[in-house]
Amino acid sequence: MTTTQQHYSPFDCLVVAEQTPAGLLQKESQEVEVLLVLEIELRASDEPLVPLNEKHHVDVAKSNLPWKDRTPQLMMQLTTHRTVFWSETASKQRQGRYLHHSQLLQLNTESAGGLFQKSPKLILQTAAMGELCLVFGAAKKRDECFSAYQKVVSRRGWETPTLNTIQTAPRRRVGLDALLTSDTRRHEHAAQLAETAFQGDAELLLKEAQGLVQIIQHYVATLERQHEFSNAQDKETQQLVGMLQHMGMTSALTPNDTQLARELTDFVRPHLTAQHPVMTLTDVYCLYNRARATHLLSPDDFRAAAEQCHSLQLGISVATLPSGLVVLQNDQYADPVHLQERLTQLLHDHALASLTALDVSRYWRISAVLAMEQLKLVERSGSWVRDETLESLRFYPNRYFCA
Amino acid sequence: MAYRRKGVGVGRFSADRQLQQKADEMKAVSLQSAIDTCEKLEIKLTEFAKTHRNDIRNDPVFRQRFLEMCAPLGVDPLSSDKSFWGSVLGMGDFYHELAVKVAEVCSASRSTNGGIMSVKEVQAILAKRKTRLGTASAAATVSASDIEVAIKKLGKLGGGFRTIKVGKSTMIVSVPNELDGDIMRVMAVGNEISHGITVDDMIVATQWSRERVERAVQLLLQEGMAWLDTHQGEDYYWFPSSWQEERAKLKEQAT
Repeated sequence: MTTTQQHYSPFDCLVVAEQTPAGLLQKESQEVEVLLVLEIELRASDEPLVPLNEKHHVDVAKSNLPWKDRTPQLMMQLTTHRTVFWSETASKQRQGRYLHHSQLLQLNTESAGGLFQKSPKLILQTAAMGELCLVFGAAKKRDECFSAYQKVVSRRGWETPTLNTIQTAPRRRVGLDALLTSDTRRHEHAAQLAETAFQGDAELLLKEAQGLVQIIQHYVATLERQHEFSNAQDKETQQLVGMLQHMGMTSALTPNDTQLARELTDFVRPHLTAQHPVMTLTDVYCLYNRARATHLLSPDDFRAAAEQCHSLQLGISVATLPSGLVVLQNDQYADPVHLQERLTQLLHDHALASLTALDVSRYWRISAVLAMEQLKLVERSGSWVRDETLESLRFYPNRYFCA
Repeated sequence: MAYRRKGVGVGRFSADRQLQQKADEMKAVSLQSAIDTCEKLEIKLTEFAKTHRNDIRNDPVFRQRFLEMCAPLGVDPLSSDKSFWGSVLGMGDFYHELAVKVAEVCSASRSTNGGIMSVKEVQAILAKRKTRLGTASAAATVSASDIEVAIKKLGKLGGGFRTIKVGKSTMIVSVPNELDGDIMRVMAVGNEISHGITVDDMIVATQWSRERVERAVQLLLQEGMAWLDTHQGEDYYWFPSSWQEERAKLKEQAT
């Protein structure tokens, strides 16, 4: 509880969720995220509920504060096991609290509109907390959440792990002739299709689309000149910004996905150790996408997420070296003095007088490009010097160097 | 000379507040019109994309022409996997996985070729592996244009990935080092010959001075993009990127 908190609300009465070091939900076994709602309000009945602390006991300090029956501006994460609500402070510190789905008794919707312009809602009947109400900004989002809840509750994933048997389609044996014929037919069809589609559909589409796109681009250019895009406050401009992002027309629009930045940090931090605190962004991208296996990230999204890590104070940051190479580094060990000490230690460990980029690459198991950059970095500080020969480029500790 | 004490037209009105109101009204109308236009465009693109989704995924020719079609519209279908294109077409996974594979192939061969290899060679390696990319069918092939699109996307990660023309070949460079014109010219000469070449051969081909050729060759040796073979007292320089491309071309012709 912060010293400035003047009341407690339904959010304070939920169970505190465990977080990863990057501030993401620490998931239970077999737990999978189903839906994310960025802005939601949580309401409870008028009767005050019991606030809980991190140890799941009654929070006596909070219970002495006045009760407020609603908590606005929460982010909701629906998983197969729980509904997790996230609250973020001004200093980007997150707290998550959850309602386990085993507590759900009933789920209903409440329509929007009417004489008093009510917002669309989902009503949850729970065993421990009575009636809770989720208030959405749009009916579409409420309906999406409702159908997600129905699926999650019907599967009851928190009770027993489900085993998915992968059914493979039986392989048809076909003769070589049939294979060759079908291959030829496929190529002919594709060639024909490419021609007709782009003589028919594509030309027509281009003709119709170009006019529309010109109007959009004219408007975007006007707003950019007026610097309104980056400061977009009103709902319609935000809607237009969202639509343009959605269609890939993202000239000056930057996505703001802190969730992705945190996931990336959780993944890459174990790889950025004291011995290897730096990796090229390309290498991290390959590792991360390999780990995801499906729904891979685009390089644009990945770079945008990586660049947010520093502002979110997650302990890693993107750095651009003088050659233009972009790396991801662990802030704790990014100090050049630390690098000098590691290189000197490498010399001693392997009884070497000098190092090449290939030596560093081999012993530290990093890419040769990154190894060369690290050697050039210490050379720039003056603590190491180079010797260029036909055979290779070697780096030696500078015995005349005084720090 | 008489002057009007009051202005004419718009100047007659008490300026700022009314003008601001008018500007806000006009802005609201334009904004709504831009939103409506975006919706119309999305509907048209959705109809097209849904009709030709499988062809875009499986046919490299169709895929390339689709990307060429999007370029003048200012639309980047690969900008984000959360975009309209990612959900309707699913082609993001294809290119993103291809980018990962190309990066891995380049990284694995860097110690051999110094970080420069031909698109043909990469294409041959990927074809040999016969891996399935994204949601494309197993029969979907990867074209040279697909690889170039993937490299262009990889370039955004600041690893130095880019494509360059060396003579008649398109090469992938995977190191952030700058390659000046002299180095590119020497590599182009090496590509044309595709076996060991001496400094004298290069002087004849380029009509440069000996110092200039030797400087370019030294730089290539230092970067690992050229190899030196001394045979019977004569220095021959080999370019691994070019002979690998030749091998890939010969294999393609044989199949």
